[in-house]
Amino acid sequence: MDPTLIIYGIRALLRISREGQAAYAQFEKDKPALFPTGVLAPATDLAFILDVFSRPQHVGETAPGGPYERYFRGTAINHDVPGATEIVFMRAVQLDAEDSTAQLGTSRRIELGGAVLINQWATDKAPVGPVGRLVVTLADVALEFVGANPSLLGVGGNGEKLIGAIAADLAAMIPDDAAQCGPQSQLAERVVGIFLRAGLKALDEQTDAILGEDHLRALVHNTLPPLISALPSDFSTNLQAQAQWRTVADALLGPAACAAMSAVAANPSAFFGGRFDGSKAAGALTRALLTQASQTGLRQQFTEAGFIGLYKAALGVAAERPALFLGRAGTPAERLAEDLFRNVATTVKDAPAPFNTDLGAELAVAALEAVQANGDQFIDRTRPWENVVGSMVLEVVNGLKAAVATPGSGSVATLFSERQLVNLGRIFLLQAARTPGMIAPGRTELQAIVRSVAAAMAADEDLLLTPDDWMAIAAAAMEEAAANPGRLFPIDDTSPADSIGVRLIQSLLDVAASEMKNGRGRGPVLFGKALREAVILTLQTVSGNVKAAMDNQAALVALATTLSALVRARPAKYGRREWLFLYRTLLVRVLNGTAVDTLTETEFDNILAGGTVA
Amino acid sequence: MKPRSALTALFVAGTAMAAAGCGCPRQLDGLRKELDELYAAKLQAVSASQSVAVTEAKLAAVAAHAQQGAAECKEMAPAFYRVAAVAAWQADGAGAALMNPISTQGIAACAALPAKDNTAPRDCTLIRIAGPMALQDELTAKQLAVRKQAEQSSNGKLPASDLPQLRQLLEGYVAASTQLAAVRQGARGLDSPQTLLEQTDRQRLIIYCNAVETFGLMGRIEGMTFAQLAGERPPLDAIKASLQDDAIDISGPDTCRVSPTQDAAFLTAP
Repeated sequence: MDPTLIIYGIRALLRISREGQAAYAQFEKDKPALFPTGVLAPATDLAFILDVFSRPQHVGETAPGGPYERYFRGTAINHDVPGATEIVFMRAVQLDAEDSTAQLGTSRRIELGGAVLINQWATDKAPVGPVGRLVVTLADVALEFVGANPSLLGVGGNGEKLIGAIAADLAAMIPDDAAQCGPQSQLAERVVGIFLRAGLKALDEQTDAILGEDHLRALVHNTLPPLISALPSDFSTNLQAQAQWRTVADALLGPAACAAMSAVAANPSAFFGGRFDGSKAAGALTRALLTQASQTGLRQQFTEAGFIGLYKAALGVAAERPALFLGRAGTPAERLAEDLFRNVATTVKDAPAPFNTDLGAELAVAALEAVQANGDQFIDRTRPWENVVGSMVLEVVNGLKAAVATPGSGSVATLFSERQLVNLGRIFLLQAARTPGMIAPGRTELQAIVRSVAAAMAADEDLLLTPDDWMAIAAAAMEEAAANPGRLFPIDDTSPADSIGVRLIQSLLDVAASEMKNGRGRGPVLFGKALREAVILTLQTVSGNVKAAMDNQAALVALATTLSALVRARPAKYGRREWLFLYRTLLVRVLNGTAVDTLTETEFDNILAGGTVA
Repeated sequence: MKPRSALTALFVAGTAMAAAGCGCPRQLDGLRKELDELYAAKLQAVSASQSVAVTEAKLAAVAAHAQQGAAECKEMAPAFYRVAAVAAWQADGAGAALMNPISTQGIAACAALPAKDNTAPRDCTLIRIAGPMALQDELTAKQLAVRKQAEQSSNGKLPASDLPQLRQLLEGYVAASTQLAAVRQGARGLDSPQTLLEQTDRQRLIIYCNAVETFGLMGRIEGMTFAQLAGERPPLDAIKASLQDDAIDISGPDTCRVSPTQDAAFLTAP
């Protein structure tokens, strides 16, 4: 990844977080505030009267000889005069009105009143509100990307469309506690920021992609608002949930959004071309991924890579087989996606080690790949297919677990790396998906075949075959078993050791082991590639005629032993190729019940020369 | 440190940072609510003629906490100082010692803002208003005590010895009025709402009305004449002129009368 993008991404995240806090601070600062009122002494008529009559222009009214002198004693009302108070009050009102006449045209009346709540700002003067500030911040984030990637946000550019898509749905992404900058709001801001950053990064890496804004809008609409609204109802008080969601969003949302955007950009027609809106599946899967991860916890079961691998595989299914995500009656797409992840998580959690880690998740990825490749052949869309993925994984795990748990040098656990185990599992799963009826409710044929092959593998105590050899054998065994059900290996809980397929493999391993005990100096050839080809050839040949194989098992062993003795005795003349040619040629003859132990060297030479034997 | 421990520490630190980021707004919100509730309680106690001592002590505590909050939350200091100033104003005597420091610090905090008072126009205006209004409330409490004394005397008169105190009260009102007029003048250039200016003018009118009543008490001084009373007018006329300069109508005896139910209006105001 471009280091510049990482730096910009970190800056963007910090800014989103900081702006969210600033928006909350602004909201609190700008809340209507109490403006109390001062203490007001009750108004008295006397104060008004004294104010008016003491004005210089009216002092004469009360002076000696003045018209109102008799109503006062000094500055006190003369109550000896009946009605003096009312008279002087009326006169004061009259004089005051005369005094005020000049000003009344321009003056304004203020009514005394109580306390009020006052806003911080006059109308249209307030700074941008919390939502607006978030928009500004998103734009700011985008501008940082422009610095490093000028073409991304050009006119009609995909980045511009993405910003537009997010902005169009921004209101739906603001949770109820936005005003209080609550935990949901903080996470939502983080989620939007991460999504934008990941989206821009993905689009930057796919500059040739031509996306419609309506496509991106659908993807955003189906991803972010449902994700934010999916937070648990007790999120505000559940600290553990907050911690888990925050960690999960930080770790998974970026890669998930990047994967979704890349998938959509790489193949928009797959997501938006048909009647089904594929962005719903992408949104539902994103939400389901984060929900499951928040419940399971990161690293408790899968690593981030495990989760993202599952998510990408599920996205692949959605792109290839969108109809699977249409949902069913009573099971909308969102529920289906949740069940898919939950079933896989539960299956892996309950699996024995080492399958209860990313190994199990990778097997689930393989199962999803099988669904993507051949889902229509074994999935009934009217039934809960989302459970099938977990069942497939479970069958492979149950088939392998005994062999994996077996101690010793030939143990599958010793021989196979985790990567090779996953590849082995993928072989079984892909073939099973190609075989009608093998994966069906109540059937354990896949598990039985896996168990049989695993049992044969466990018998290779001398490590005559490499993991690659065994994978080739497994592919052939699976193919033959699929084509001829119940012949080579059991299709139920019967012990695999009794099956002709396992017995034949073990017999060839015994011959090879016996050869090897004589040491390489004696010229053994039945190991590695030769042994692998011999086993595959045997399985392919006998799968259609198991009875002949059972009747002539000893003769088959004798043939292998005879040929091994021949090449050991004449190393200068015969080698691996000759062994295999003779084995392939004579195998059918042995199965037909014709003895080969009397063949001479001349007859062997004749066969090798292209001739026949009597 | 193990990776897991490091991650845990990072998470804890991140959560703490986020909590700190939202801690100041939450603290402010809590103090604001407390102030509103205590103010409402004080009004109820006053209307029921009950003691307000406990409530005012709590208001003083809110003022002190808000002042502390301003020191801790620099970016929100004006809002905290606004709560502190209003609480100290309403705490009356209990908040008297806090008023000056809060006003001084609050005004300095506003001056330090990028757009000075216009960064938080209402908050900065209220910080400037609270001090003069606390003074006017203090003066009015004294005035009411003098009035009570007059009403309790046999002839309704006050001794001449009360005249200096009444003069001081009147000068005090002039000081409060002058300060409010200056605040009002400054607030005109801010992006604050019109209601802030109107409520400020209402306080100026209250000061004027209280000054008129104080002047009326001067008329109750034993031996006072209208000629002498006219000589005491300049402070009152100064306040009146200030209001008239701002085209505020103060004519008529009803200018200073108020409905007793209006004080509860803020509880339901938007």
